[in-house]
Formats: sequence, structure tokens, C-alpha cells
Amino acid sequence: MFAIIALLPLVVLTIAIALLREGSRYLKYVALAASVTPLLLVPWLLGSIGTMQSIRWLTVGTYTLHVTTMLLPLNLLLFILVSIIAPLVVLYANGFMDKLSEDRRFYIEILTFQAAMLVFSIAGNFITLLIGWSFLSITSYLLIGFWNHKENAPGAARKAIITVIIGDLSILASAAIMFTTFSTLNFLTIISDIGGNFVASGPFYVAMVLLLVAVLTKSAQFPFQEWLADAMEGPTPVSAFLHSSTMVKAGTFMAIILFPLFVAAKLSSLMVLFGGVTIVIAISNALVNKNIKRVLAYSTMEELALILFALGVGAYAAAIYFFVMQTFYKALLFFYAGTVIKGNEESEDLENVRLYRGNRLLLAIGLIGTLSLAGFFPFNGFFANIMVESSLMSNTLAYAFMLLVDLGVSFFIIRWFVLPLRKVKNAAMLHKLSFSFAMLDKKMVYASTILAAITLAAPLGSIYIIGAIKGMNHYGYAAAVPSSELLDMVVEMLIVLAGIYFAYYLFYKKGRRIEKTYWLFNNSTAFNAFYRYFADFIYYLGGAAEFADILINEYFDKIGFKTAKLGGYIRNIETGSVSLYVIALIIGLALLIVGVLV
Amino acid sequence: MIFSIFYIFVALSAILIVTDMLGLVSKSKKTLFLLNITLLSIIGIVIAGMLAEGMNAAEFGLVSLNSFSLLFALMFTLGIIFVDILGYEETHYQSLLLFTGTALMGAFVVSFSNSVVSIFVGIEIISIATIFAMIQKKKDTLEAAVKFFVMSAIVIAIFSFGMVLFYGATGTVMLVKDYGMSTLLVSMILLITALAFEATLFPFNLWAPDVYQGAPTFATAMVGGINKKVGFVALIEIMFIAFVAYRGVFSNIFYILAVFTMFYGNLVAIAQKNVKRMMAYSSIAQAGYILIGLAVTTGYGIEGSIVQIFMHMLMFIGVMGVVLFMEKRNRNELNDYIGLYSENKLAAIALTVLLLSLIGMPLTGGFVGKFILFSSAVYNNMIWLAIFGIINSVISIYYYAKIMLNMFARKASARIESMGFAIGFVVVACAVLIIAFGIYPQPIIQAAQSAASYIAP
Repeated sequence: MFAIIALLPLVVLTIAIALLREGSRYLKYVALAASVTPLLLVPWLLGSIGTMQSIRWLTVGTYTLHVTTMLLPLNLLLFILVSIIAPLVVLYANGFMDKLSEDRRFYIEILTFQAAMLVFSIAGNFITLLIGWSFLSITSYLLIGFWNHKENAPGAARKAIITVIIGDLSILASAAIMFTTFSTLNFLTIISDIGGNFVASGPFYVAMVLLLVAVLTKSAQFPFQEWLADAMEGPTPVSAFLHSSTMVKAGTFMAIILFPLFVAAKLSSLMVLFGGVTIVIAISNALVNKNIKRVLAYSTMEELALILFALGVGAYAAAIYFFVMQTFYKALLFFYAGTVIKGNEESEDLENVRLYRGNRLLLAIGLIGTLSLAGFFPFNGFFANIMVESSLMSNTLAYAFMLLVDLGVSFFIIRWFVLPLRKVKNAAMLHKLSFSFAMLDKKMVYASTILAAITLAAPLGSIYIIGAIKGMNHYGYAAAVPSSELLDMVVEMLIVLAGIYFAYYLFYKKGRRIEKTYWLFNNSTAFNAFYRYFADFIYYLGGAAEFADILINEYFDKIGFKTAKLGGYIRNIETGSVSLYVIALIIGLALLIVGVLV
Repeated sequence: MIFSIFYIFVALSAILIVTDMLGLVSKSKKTLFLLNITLLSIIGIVIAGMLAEGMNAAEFGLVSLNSFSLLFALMFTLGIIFVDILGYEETHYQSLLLFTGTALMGAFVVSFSNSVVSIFVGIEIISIATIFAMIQKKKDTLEAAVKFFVMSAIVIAIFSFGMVLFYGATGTVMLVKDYGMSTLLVSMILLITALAFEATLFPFNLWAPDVYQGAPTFATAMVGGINKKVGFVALIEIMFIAFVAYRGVFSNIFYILAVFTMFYGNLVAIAQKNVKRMMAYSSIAQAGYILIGLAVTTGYGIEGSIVQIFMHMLMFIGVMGVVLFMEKRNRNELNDYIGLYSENKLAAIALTVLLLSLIGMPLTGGFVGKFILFSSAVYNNMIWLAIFGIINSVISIYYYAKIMLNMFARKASARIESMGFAIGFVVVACAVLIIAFGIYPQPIIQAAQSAASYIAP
């Protein structure tokens, strides 16, 4: 259980924070130290790559349930990824969260989330997966609704938890079916069982469809996508951590780790379908949304859908590469958005916020993130996009789709970037703006800078990522090396440049606003209305159940009262006189003798 | 090798008793306490050493060392350590230590016994020690002690009669497997009756609520934690080693006894207002659950009983700790528990954990025990037993919840009170152990499995 031991300092320090006085001003530094510890312990884990360890958890009769961790190259990759992002997010949060009284609650929840994500990343069987997954859902709920005085936050948190819990239950049901089909819950064992001559049966399909549902709910894909946009009610560090780089990617990570199972159940076309539909929904929403964080949320949705889409068409390695690269630039963009929000007195309206252009560092950071997302040349997003598209070049329809997607992406992200960069007309406002940006807590800037540097340097780590992908071949994963085509590179750059030019021209130079086409592209309200109709429908169905419930309640109340009264009668046996007790003893003895001998 | 460790164990026990006796005249409570706890801990470690060392049975004289007996010896040591810490605030602490030490010796004799005579001796020792522990100057405690004394005397007589019949029928007092004589049935019934008194099973447990309520709280913790379990240990040893041939008979007997005990305990507990008395009834009901495992007569059932015995010991001692804490401020009724959360968060949370475990909530130790017990009943086609067990668990939720709800209600004049180090330690330790074994029960299940496989292979 070496991998679990790597989490021990984190857990211990989290408990220590729970015991600290609320409002202590050193709490956030303890939290920072806690979140760095897994990263420091990574070299120790490097020694046990490719191993799997399990401990017996519960033995019931002949069944034994284990808690298993596995350290395949992919697991270690995600572990390192989370360990890098987490301290940066906590550092950012040290600067961002300015109310000391909220600190203890916030950091406990963030650190628990980090521990849960790390447990999830090294999960070797369904039980460990479930433990990590459930904690992810709960901490996500707690963190989205963190500012519970905000008007929309509790509702958003509820929406998130209800959607994600559907996934939790699906995994539970799927694990139960897997247990009966394979009599083990261990991933590697199941994957090698599939590899032999395995005949897929009905229950197996059901189990895999349930797993797909879990992937869709966690990663906010159609039809479960609405919770992600509303999840932006949480503080920005939460959005940067959970809802861009780690938690929502847990769903796609499960799809990646269990990919042979999905292939065996022939669900690839479903993945392509759901991925493709979500891409369209996400881009269309992102094009017109007026909230700085929601655009990023829709963009995350689009990227996750892209990963799912790539998995569905079989571009396994490209999906993993994209998975890794997206983490960095997404978190970076959220950091940038957070600084802009802070500098504009917590306003999130894209049309009204302004970046103080004198702050060149922030400008550069934002530019790095934006160009990475758009897929501009030497930034990591470019290589990620290339990998995905090159795998699709054989299928013209899919390739054309991807090119359109790229155009849309670069269009909306450049719109998102240049809108706050417009000139501020009023000199007094400019002065105020410069002041508030100068007053930004420096920790936020440090975190953003470090992350920007990592994002810039990320393509240099491609060797390790490709090595990790190739390493997965030993364990039953057919992972081909991703390809990259020169033609594709050229086409990509052209498309991106086209998107940049159009967006820049429309929104910066001309200062256009999106009013007329808003109704066409913004489908989020339509989906929310659909959710409401569905919920109302279930509620009416529940009316019948409610009637039965009332009846049953009355019946059980009566039974309860009678039971209590019965207890009141029986208690009279205890008179307190020893003679009665002795008589009862003798009578019991006599009854036993008679009963046995007769 | 195991013999030498056993001699060390005997020497340590002797040193313990001598220390306690000398302690009667000592003035310093603290040194005596530390000395006692250290000796008990060393004894516990020695037992654990024997447990790790000798998984094969070793018998010599009237002592049988095997995984079953050593496991229970360890459990009783842990229980007595907790009881000693719990009673730290009592007057005449020195005599308390002597009595609990002696009770532990009695428990050891019963666990290690392999003949009816040694069980007899062990039960005598532990009963006498308990009676002395219960005596204090107040009126109720004296009444409880006298009641216990009188009923013990009658029961010892019944046990002796059973023992005599046993000797007469088999020609030996040793518990050797598989006697098959028909005259043994009466002996078996008499022995069951006597041990059912100790283990508080149905018609023989009418003394229990009065005695549990009247005795000083640390003595209640001991009676409910240790005495009851000693009764079960003796019952398992006698029934499953000597009377194995009559499996069908005593399985039926235990079935009926278990059902009645569970219902009696849970139903009457609902009507109680005094928390200590309510806990007495609850422990009667828990004895019923443990008896389910004996009624099933398979190794798996005994495993469940052993696990539940351990969990119940922890739960009961923990709850008695909180009851002691409240009793010191003279708050004994259910309504006095209102607002406990605002007065002492730790006590309230620990009590919640312990009560949830008594209910059988998953992630606590009580769930593990009950789960194994009920599933063993189902595996053995005694489905109705499991159903009765579950119905009783549901009934029990009512009165445990009453305490919990009262605890978290607000009170107008709540002052912060501290539990004191001794009581606090015991309560928190029990709650933490319950949660730990609820999340990772494998060590206990493993130990119980090897113990049960010795008894019923």
C-alpha cells in the first residue's frame, strides 16, 4: 500500500487543520504544506511503477473484498498531475480567499478533495474507485456551495450533487454486476479476462452502459451537462481545481483506464455520439455567454467531450495527451479569470470587466493560456490538437468536424480574451482599475506565473507522456503512439489564425456585442427548462408514491405505538422482589427440562 | 516455549493481585493506578505474545491454551483496563482495583478452562469480586449487591448440581469432545440455566436491570462488559466441546432463548426513563443478538458471536463512561441529557458514535458483528432468526435515538463541562476503536475466525 502511504501526510495535516482554531491566520500555510506533500513523495512512488497492491478489507463468508491500488504509468501520470496542480491552487487560494473565518472549512474541503482525487488516481479495483469517486462528489458539493450566502450557490450545489450521484449509483450497480460476472472487482484481472476469449453477455453490456452513464454525469456530457456551468458559483480556486483540471476529468479518466472494457462492450460509437453532441452544445453556449467563468466552464465541457470523442474513434494515445495538456492551460485560464474578477470588485460580467493593461504580467499569463487553448503554434494546446486531428485524418467527415470545432474554439476564446482588454474610456475608472489590480494579493500572481511557466514547458514533457502511454501496452491496453502530420499542422495554424482574426476584428476593433444571435446559440436555458420538466414529471409520478407513503406511515405509526405500549406492559415483570426473580428462574429451568426431555 | 510464557503470565497475575492487596494500605492513588495499568498492559502483551506464538492448542492440567481462550483473555484484559481507568474518581479506589483484578483472574480461569470444575471456580471468583465491587455506602448499591449475591448463590447451586450430574454421567469433569449419553441432557440444561444467568438470557435475566441500575457505574460497566461475556465464553466452551452431540437440542433452546431475550430487552427498554436502566435492557437485547450466533452452531456463527462480544464490550463500557460523566452531576434521566452537545461536544459525539454502533449502523463495529451474526443465521437456513434480529434492531433504534435527539437539542442554560481525563480517555478510546474496527474489521474477523475454528471446526 505504498501509494496510500504517500497520502498519509496530507491526511494527517488535514486533521491537524481541523483541530486548529477557526480564523487562525497560519491555517493557509499549513494547508499549502499539506498539499505539497504528495508531490514530494512522488519520487518514492516511482520505484513501484507497474505494481498493484491490495489489502483485505472485509471477509464475508467466502467472499473477500479488497482495497486495491495500482500504479500503472497512467495512474502515476494522473497522480503527478494532481500533485502539481493542487499546491498551485492552494497557493492561489491563499491569495484569493480573503475571509479568515472561512479558511478552515475551505482548506479542509480542498485538501479532502485532493486526497480523494489521489486515491481515485491510483484505484486498482471498483471499491477504491468508489471510495475516491464518492468523496469527489461530496467535496465538490461542499465546495460549489461554499459561499452559501450567495443566492444561486446552494441551488447549483444541489444540482451538481444530484446529477453526480446518479453516476455514483451507476458505478455501484455496475460493480455489483461485474462482481457476479467476473467474481472479482480488480481492474487488471477483468481486463485480462476480457482479452482472452470472452463472450460478452447481457449483464456485461448493462454494466458498461452504467459505467458510461457515470462517465457522462461526472464529466458533464450530454444529457447531464448543465451542472458544470452552474458550478461556477463556487470560488475561483474551486473552479480551477475541481471543475477544470481534476474532478470533471475523473469521468474521462475512468473511461481511459477502463477503455478495453468499453471496447469489448462496443460502446465506442455511443462515446462518439455523446462527445460530438456535447461539443456542439458547449461551443454554441461558449460563443455567446456573458459570464467570464461560464465561458470557461463551457470550454471545459467541450474539451472533455473532445477527449471522449477521441476515445470513441480509437485515438487512445491522443486522448491521453490531450487530457494531460488540457489540465494546465485550463487551470491557468481560471487563475487569470480569478485575478480579473478580483480586480473588478468581484464582477463577473464579461462585457463590463476590464483588465488593467498596464499589468503586463497578467496580460502575458492570459495570453499564454488563451493561445494554448486556441491551439496556437508552440503552445501545448497546439500539439494536443494536432495529435487528435492527425488520428482523424483518415475519416474526412470527422476531420472536417474537428476543423470546425477548432475554428469555433479559437473564436470564442479570443472573444473571451479581448473583451476585457478594450480601452477604458473614463480616466477615473482607469485609475481605480490600476489601483485594484495593484492591490491584488501577490500569491495569486505567483501561482499563476508558476502555472504559466509549467504550461509553456509542458510540450517538453511530451517524451514522458508518450513513454507512459507506450508503457500501458504491457497491461492489456492497445495504445499506439500518436501521430502527427505536417499538413495538419499547417491547416490547424490557418484555422486558428482565422478564428483569432475574426474574433479580434469583431469584438475588439469593432466592439460588437452579441445580441441578435444570442437566442440561437445559448441553449443552456433550454436544457435547464428540460431538466425542470423532467423533475416535475418525476414529482407527479411521485405523487402516487406519496399517497402510499402516507398510508404506510400511518400504519407504521400505529405499530410503533403498540410496540411501545407493549414494552410498557412487559416492564411490569420487573417488580424488584428477588423472590419473583428466583421463581422466574425456576420456572424457566422447569420449562427447559420439560421441553427437552419430552 | 508457550509453557514458559504461561508461567510468566501466571507470575504477572500473581504480582498484580499482590500489588492490589498491598495497595489497600497505600496512600497514593496515582502510583497505584499507574502500577496497575502497567501490569495489566504487560499481561495483555504477554497474552498477545502467547496468541501469536501458540496457535496450536496446548493443554496441561486444568488449563487449555488455544486461540479461543487466549483471544478472550486478551479481550477481558482490555475491558478491565478500561474499567479501572473509568473508576478512577471513585472513593476507595484501592479496593476497586483489587476487586477488578480479582474479577479479571476469574475471567482468565474461565477462558483457559477445560473442565467444568475450573469454569465453576472461575465463575465463583468473578461473582464474589463483582459483589464486593458493587458495595458502597448508598442504599441502591447495597440493594443491587445483595440481589446479585442472592441470585448468584442460587445459580451457583444449580451449576454445582449440573456439574455433579455431568460427573456422574461421564465419569470425568474434563470437557472432552463428543459425549453421547442421554442422561447428560438434564446436566446440560442445568448448566445452561446457570450460565444463562450470567449471560442475561431471558427468563434468567430479571435481576439484570435492577442490579445494573443500582450498582456504581464502573461496576455496571464491569458486570455488563465482563461478567456477561464470561457467561458466554463458558457457554460456548461447555456446549460446543462437551455437548456437541446434542447440537440440535441446544440449538433449538438457544433459538427460543435468543428470540425472547431480544424482544424482552428491546421492548422494555422503550419504556425506560432512566438512562442506566435503559442501557441495562439494551445490553440484555445485545446478549440476545450474541446468542443468535450460538444458536446457529456453525463456526461462522460463533465467529459472529465473538466479534459481537468484543464490539459490545467496547460499546457498553464507552456508554457507561458517558453515563458516569452525567451521573457525577446527578443527571440520570433521559430529559437530563438535553443539551449535552452544547456542554461537551466530545462526549456527545462519542456517545453518538457508540449509539450508532449499538443500532448497527455501517462503518461502525456494531454493524460488523450484527452482519456476520445475521448472515450466519441465513446461511444456516434459520431465516426467521435473522428476521427477528433485524426487527429488533429496528425497535432498538427508537430508544437509542431518543438519547441522541435529546443530546442535540438546545438547552437554555448550558455550561461547558469537561469529562475529566479518565472518563474522557475511556469514552474516546472506545468510540475510536469502534469506528476503526468498523472501517477495517479484518483483524478482529481474522482473530475470531481462528478462535471459532478451534471450537467448531
